[in-house]
Amino acid sequence: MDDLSLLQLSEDDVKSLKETFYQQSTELIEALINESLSIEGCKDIDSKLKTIKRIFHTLKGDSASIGLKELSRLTHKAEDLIQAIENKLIDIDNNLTDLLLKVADCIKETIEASMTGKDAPMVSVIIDTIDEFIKTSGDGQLDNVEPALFLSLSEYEKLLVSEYRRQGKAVYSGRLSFSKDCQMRSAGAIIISQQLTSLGDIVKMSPNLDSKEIESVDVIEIILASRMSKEEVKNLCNIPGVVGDVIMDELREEAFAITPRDTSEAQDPSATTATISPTGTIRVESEKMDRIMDLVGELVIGRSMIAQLVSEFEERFPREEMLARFSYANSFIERSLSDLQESVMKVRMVPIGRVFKRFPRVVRDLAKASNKDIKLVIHGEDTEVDKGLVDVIGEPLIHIVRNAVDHGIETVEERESSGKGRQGTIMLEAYHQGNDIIIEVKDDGIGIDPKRLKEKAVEKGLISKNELEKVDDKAAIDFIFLPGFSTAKVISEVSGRGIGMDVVKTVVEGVRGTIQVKSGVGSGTIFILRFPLTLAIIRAILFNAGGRLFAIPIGSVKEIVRVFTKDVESVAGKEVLRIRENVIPLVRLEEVMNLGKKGGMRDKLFVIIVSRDDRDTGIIVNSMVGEEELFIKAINDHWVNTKIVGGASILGDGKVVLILNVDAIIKKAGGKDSRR
Amino acid sequence: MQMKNKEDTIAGQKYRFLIVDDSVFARKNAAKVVEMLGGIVVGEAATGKEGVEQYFKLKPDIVILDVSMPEMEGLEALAKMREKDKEAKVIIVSSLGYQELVKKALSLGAKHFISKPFEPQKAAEIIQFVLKEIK
Repeated sequence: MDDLSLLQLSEDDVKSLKETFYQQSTELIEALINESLSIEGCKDIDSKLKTIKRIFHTLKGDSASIGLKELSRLTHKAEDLIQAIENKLIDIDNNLTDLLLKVADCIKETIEASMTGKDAPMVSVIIDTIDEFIKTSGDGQLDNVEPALFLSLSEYEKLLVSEYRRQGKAVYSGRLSFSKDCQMRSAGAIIISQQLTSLGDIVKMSPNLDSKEIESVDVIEIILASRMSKEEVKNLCNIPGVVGDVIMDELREEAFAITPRDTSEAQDPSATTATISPTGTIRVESEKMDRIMDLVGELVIGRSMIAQLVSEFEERFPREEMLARFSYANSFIERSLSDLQESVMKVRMVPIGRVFKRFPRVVRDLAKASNKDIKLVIHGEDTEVDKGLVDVIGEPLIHIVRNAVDHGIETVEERESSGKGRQGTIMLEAYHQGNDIIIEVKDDGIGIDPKRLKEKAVEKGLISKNELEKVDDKAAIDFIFLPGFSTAKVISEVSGRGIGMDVVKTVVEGVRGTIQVKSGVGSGTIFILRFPLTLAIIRAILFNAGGRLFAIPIGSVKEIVRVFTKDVESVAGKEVLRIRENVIPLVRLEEVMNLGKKGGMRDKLFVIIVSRDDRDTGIIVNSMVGEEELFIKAINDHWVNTKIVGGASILGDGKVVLILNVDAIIKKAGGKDSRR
Repeated sequence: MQMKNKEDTIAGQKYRFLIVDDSVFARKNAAKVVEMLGGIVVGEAATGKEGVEQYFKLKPDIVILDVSMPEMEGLEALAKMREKDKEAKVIIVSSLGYQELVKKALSLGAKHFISKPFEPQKAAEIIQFVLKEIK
């Protein structure tokens, strides 16, 4: 503190101050440790945080007073930490307790060291730790600055301004920012207001004195009429301990006619749009949204019950007069309900940016760890996706990105020697395509070498040499999704832990998504993740097979054909169907799901042909039921574990329908082998 | 903010200060600041009651008063001083978390407030700011 030079304390003074400080701070540290230990699960967390903050604050001030700069810096940072907790940016958990205890220890050691003249511990390390903690826990949201408040004058206030002008006063527009040291802002604001009153007439002060906002804003904006010069007003607004910085501008008449202020900062559009016209958003807990979504789902089921009843009613009393009114009421409900459904769906949509914002840091850290130079490009962060998707997609994406950094992008030397730029690029992009949401992760790295994948697959015993011959390069890339597959020469620290690509695939499929990978050796890899727009409701084709009711998402159905039983051929013990020029493998659900009950041996069969990535598979069904909108319910049934059933729904008549996972069926049918 | 030359504001005058605070450390600290600014500490008190007695006995130019003392003593003391002496110049000192008390004190006519713990530089600036008004 060079300002201490002003207050030259004698050596004795310093010594006695230090002693007082030492006694007081020992007590404070004890209190701090006690508070920290009881912070987890504490009921009155606010008062606890306040106490801790007060301890830090006291220590900060005292340590600064006796010249322990480092300690003052540490306690200041610790205050930031508590602030972040108060702002709910950081969760209160075991890690926090650990950190607080670490801070307490460090303070204690630093003070002891200063008393005994020993070496002080590494305060800056702890400060960095706190920084790191705040950033990782709160996504660095502390950096967000409150948008400046815009002053808009009412007609009455404009009248006041012109009246003051008539009296020969100048009108000033000012922005007074609170000093860092001003911990009590609404009290500070009172001083500001008192000071301004002594300088002239306050036309407007924003936020006003009684507003709760005062505590959270950094700047108070004022419009003041005064006989003093701009410089005088500016200087006198510099209230020590309250005001940190003053911007004062004279408000000229012409400028005033258009906009009530003309300070340079006023030009910042982001600062104004956020507050001039409140967008009228409200925050709702996501649990409440989920509840509404569930209720809509129940209503969808209820609606189909009514529809069912209407048709039964129609059959039984075809001449009933009320029938027409009955079905009108029914269709009315149906219309409103689908509007409701759509609206709720829209509410559930959130920008994917919520997931993407984690990535700049992730990529930075990973690149640093593996000593590579990587630029992350993010596109389409505004793309809206279902909340349910946002909740689950983060981890799989991180894994893909981690792989890209670790196995995809080359080191700077490798890149230079292969004629690429030093810096590798990873692109994260989200966009809508039809009824799907696509998320792409693209890198310009080394790419995936199908030859090496094949070798590896054989080596790991995942595929036999004979089978391998049938696999082309394009299909070989999909080996990375096999459980227990890793091509990294050495399992690196970065991507060698946690989940593998097979888990990524499972998670993606769990929300009815698909994952596709394309790669060119030397030119890079692209992962394409495709998800349905909404996760909760799907349109599906319903059918019976093996005595059970099934549904298949309509988007996966390529066509439905009716064939003679004799058209079904057998190749290598597997049933196939020749349609036009293609041979399509067939699946009997009763077999793959061990339902035990054979389908009817009729002359004619329905075959639903499903397709994914140019791979077709036919599902043999007993009878078609129709097309319906299904509200998917999660089920805890052993079918789920087979992955063939992705979910379930209840129909209007109370019947349970199992929703099939097309990818799993194609896999089961060995669809890979029959590609064109 | 640049600290003004102390001669500017103090102008050689020996302003008389009364310090009312229940913390010894804070009183010592405040006294140091006052002395460095060229003022004289004419009295110290550890309770609000004592503070009021001293105020009317010593008639200091400025009072530095802790409002966050137990049982609102500080606020009561301030009210009593201002009640009998409309010119009483009081700078209040408060620990963090007592903002409502500080606001009440300001509405009772306190001139400024200093957040505890006392940071000498800040405190000095605030005291000078209030002294300007007396001059």
